Amino acid sequence: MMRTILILSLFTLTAAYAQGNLPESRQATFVEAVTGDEVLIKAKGVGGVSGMFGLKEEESVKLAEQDARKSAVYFVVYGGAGLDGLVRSDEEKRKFVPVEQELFSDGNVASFIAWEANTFDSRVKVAGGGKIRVEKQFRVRRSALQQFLTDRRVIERLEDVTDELGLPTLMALPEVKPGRNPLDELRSDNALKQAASVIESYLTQRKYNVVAPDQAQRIYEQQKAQLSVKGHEEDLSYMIALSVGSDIYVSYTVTVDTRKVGTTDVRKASVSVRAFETTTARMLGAETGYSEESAAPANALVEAAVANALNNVVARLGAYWQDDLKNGAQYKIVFSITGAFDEDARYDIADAAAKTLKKIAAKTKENVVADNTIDYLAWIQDKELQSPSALFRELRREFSNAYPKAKLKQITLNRKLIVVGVE
Amino acid sequence: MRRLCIVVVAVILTASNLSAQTGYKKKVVSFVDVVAAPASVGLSDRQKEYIASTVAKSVRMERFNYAPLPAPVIRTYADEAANAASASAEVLRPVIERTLAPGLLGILDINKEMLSTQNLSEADRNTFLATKAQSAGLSAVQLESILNSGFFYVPFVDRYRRTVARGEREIKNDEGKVVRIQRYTTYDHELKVGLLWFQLTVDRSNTPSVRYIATARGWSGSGVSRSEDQDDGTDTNADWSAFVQAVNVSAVNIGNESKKIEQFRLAGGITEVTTFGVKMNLGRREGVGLDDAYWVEEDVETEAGDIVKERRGFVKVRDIGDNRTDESAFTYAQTITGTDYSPGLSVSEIPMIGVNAVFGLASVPVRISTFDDRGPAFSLDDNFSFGLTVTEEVKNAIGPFAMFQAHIGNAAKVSELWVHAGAAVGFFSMEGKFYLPRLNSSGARIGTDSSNDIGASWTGYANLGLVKKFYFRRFGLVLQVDLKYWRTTLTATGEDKRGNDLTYTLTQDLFGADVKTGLEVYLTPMLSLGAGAEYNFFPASTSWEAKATDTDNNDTVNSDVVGPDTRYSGLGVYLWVNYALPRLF
Repeated sequence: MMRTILILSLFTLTAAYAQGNLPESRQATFVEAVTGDEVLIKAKGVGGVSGMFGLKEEESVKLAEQDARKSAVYFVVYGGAGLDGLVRSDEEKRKFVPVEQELFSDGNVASFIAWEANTFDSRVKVAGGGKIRVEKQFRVRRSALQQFLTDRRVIERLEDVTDELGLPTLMALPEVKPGRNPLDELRSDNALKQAASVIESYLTQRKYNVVAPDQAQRIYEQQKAQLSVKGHEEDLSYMIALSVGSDIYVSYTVTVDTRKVGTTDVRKASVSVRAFETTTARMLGAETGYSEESAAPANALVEAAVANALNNVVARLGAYWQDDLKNGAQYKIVFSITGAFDEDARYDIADAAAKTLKKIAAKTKENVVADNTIDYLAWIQDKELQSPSALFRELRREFSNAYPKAKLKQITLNRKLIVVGVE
Repeated sequence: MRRLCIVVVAVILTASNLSAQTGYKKKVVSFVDVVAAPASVGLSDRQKEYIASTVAKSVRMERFNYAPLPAPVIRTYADEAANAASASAEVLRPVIERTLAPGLLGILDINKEMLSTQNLSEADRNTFLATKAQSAGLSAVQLESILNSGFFYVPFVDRYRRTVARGEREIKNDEGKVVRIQRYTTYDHELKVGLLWFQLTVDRSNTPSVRYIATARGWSGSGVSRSEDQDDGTDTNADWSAFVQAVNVSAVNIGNESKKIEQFRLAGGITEVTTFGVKMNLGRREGVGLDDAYWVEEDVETEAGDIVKERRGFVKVRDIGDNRTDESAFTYAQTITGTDYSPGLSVSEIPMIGVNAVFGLASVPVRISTFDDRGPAFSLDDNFSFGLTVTEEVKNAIGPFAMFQAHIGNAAKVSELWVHAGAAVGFFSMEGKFYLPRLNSSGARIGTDSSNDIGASWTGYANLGLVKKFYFRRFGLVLQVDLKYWRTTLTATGEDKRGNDLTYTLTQDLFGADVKTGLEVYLTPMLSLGAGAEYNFFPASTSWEAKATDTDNNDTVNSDVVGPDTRYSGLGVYLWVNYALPRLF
């Protein structure tokens, strides 16, 4: 009997210690992204302090409030419906365990709360009268939390990982029907223009390189004829992104629904944001953000919807970039056979191309080997080959060694796409 | 111009928790005046107009904003309602929906942005749209809540009865002799008047509809009845006066009953707890009054997961926050019952009319000294002089008392200040005898009849004064000062010269004052028990009025006779029940 009691006591103490500073409730919902750095969270907290005569209410409410603060921060750290967490992968979660007690200490939690409501959204006595549950709204400083976690090496700062290669270059273009030019749509539609402006602002705030649409237009026009990319001819966003050498392109659609409440027009904006890896047109992340239905101007609603969507998409982009860079700088390398070669020679050229890339790149992936086109993805880790021109020179040299009968000629060269002619 | 008496109240509907936590939202009232009454109720135009305007005043409160409906809209309703078969909610609802609803919707639509802005919560002001976008754009939910929150009220008369009766009374001269008969007319008006409340709702296609909400009755049981007498030959207009009184009393009840309707009841939340009370997020803007009582309520989750409201106790307002100019100003309320309050609890108004009925038992100081003057001590004309002995001193009298207290704290800006008026009756037994004249058939005194013991007698007073209470939790210290009028009467019956009854009366009237202190204990917000003591200040007096009254009600009076020494000064003891009246009767 005594042993059972001892074991139970130890178990309880262990559980209590494990709980420590962590919130008890952990119930929270994402309301909206107020700014790029702050998110509005509605969180519940539970607290109960017993005294000689039963529940000590005022102290219990204070405890529940503190638990609600912690639950709001917990939600931002781990994520939930509508909001990606800061700690995502298993490794990050493992690294977080030794730090979580410190993060959720009372003093620390307060520093992550930018604002909290003066009144409760609800206050209920629960657990047979033994505890009080409150619900409140908080604005949580997501960027401060992120800083806390990067300082303690729980998550990597994107800038640290991308020390040499830098943050990815992005380009934002509206989603259009196949064959239509997104840049033309952008010029004519105010909502699309507003969304583009918000996305670019959001991204530059986070130190991403952003290619502006008018820049993209000029470059695309210059390189249009030289782009030799099979299978994506009608996807102009892809083609434009490739032509300017962006690592990622973000396409978005904006819908603003209007109805009348009385005689007042109210609008609701929804913005779908999809991010693609430029070289492969592979989707990296997608999210739809909604604004409140409101009488506010459409531009304000579009901005609200974009902010709600981008929070999650950009988080996923960062994760992709960190992963991808471990393999090196990624390029789409297209060998376009422009000279007159017979069938055997074409096989040899394909073979030589493969050998060349195997020698230069840390990792390769064959996309297409057709009659006149050989399409590869290559990840370059060699520090000497981090610029497109250096890479081209090395390609040319190695290809000459692998197949002396042909030479490589530069057709298109940017940080993402290298198109070489074989003649 | 006949105007339709319709009060349109726009109410911001919120979920109960939200409204509790975020405070009461002010209502918009738009009114016209037409009283709905069946044809069988014969009210004159003047009467209807008076009812309409008085009832409108009774629901003129801080918790409402006001805006009028256009005259053509009113006329259309008036014409249709006049043809209605009855004044019931079922009959009037479609009429209101056809005629008034679009007009109210138009008013709400024009004002919805302004009204929504007033009702923005703190959380609403911290959203993205409000902060970074700095947009005053209000959400569709907020705008829709304005449009879905219009209330109409329709004054109706369920019953009206006017009765006229004739009567007469005797007029006496200074000597007490009946000199003439005064005829008079008694006008009695019995009225059942109330308000039918309807709500305007608007669907997503902006189509208005109306639904019945509640009835605020100005009566309970039988109608409110008031009567007045008018002597023949005078022009005091007692008929109208009685009617007006009935309407005024009904209007007070209607106002209070309207406050009890859930949508209009003031509700808020506790923001802070102090040593002796709480602070609430209600104030002058909502029309909170001094000494108003509020339930403190708590949401509790049951085992089944349902949320139910439980009452924890009640508080009374002691200091009103002026949140008209300062959003952060809160109202302080003293805790009366309940313990361990904490922020986040909700408060809900307990509407009261501010009139208490106090009744109980009293032991009043009446000292009547021994007296012996068989005399006859008390000289009256017509050989009616009589004498008296009091063989044992009277020390006190015991009997019931009653008073009405009316709250004047808001007018005087002094918490728990009441004005009161009351009366008490005390009965005592007096040892002694009357010595009445024995008269022959010609009215000559032939002897003295000493068979009449004084026996049971009564004393009583009426008082008017002020009451101030000081509360600590549920216990109230009561301090009272009064002006008093005291009367003691001793009565015996003899015979006149024809052998008919002749009533002999000794009466003493005195004016004085008293101070009283006591302790009241709240059992519920409406009911408390009390006990106290008072000290009366009266001059000692031996001056009495002696009177003999025959069967024809003629009096023979001597206003200044010397009788037993009587003192009312001294200590009285009281036990009472204090009941806050739910309505006037």
